[in-house]
Amino acid sequence: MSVSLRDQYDKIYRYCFFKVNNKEIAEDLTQETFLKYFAQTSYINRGKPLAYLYTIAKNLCIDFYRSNKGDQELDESVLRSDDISEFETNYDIKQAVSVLPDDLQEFLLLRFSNELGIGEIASIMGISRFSVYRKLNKALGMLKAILREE
Amino acid sequence: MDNNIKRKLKSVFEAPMPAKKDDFLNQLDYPKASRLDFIKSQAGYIRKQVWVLSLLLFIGTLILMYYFEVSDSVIWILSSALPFISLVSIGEIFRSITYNMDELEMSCKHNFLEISLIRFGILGLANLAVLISLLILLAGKTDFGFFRLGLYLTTPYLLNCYGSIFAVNRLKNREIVYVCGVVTASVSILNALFTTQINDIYTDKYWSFWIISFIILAVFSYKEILKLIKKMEELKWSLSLTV
Repeated sequence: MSVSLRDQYDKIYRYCFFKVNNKEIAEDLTQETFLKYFAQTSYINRGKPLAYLYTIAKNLCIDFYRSNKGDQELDESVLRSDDISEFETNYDIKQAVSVLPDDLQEFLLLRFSNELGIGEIASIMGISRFSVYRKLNKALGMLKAILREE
Repeated sequence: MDNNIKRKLKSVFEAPMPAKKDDFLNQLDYPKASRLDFIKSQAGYIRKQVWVLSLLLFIGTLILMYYFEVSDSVIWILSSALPFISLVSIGEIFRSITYNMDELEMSCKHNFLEISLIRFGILGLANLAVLISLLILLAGKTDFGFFRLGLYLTTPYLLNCYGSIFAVNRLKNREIVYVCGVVTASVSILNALFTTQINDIYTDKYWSFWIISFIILAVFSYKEILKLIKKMEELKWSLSLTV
């Protein structure tokens, strides 16, 4: 098993967790992402395998929301308290990020937590590189403003 | 402040530890790279200078043919230049063997011997392609014919292969590539001296000398390559004993 596959598993799981906010569902979606990805071997030789991996994960999360709308209550309060205890030192910045719109949070996650390149993010989100830069700058600007206020 | 925020953002999105990760990844049957993919990936690791030098020699031949009439002088110039192509090829193989680059590059997916042999094959095929291209270009322009011309061009090349692999098999220091450089330069200069000083070197008078030299050098080179493969097998065994 290559190191990168394990690494990608963690990153896709983090991404799915961000999207669905539930540990078990995030892990199921992560595994489904990998199974779908490897079921289509053509992905591997298309030159942007990472972007395809995220695209599958993103679509699976969207499908999950569509099919489970209202059925499943996600226990956000429990997750949030877990997060706070785990990352107490970053509490301020965590709070500040949570105030940002979801789409901007997603950009920050992909860029700074999952360490994707601008080109890869552009490919996943289906927008231009320039738009990715603009979104990231906007997110960082808002984040700094919130932190200054606090 | 920017860098501080960016650093902190890394941990902001941390998720709880996944519970089924190891089980899933251990059972995951993902498609392995095909043999062709493997060869392609190895070709990608060969340094650009190998391809550039081969291309330069090819372009140089075209220029020589365009501006000058093909004569014995063109043949000795080319046969003196060919050992340098084998030098970069052997230097490339030596680099991989000495620094165990292959293991790192393929993350132990393929064994050391397999990777080295694939590289031998790629480099050998590339050299052969250059040689055949040169022969096709020159064969029609000389009276020697395809095989005879091939003999004149490949004999110094083989001498260099033999000398360089002989050095790689026996010397252990990391400056071995300079030894190969000296061998190549010596072969090239010797070839130039021989072919320019002995006027009838490319005539029927020396035909048997070329054939015998070619056969002896081919056999010796083959034996040295076998020794090199054996050496790599031993290295593979030694590596397997380390943790």
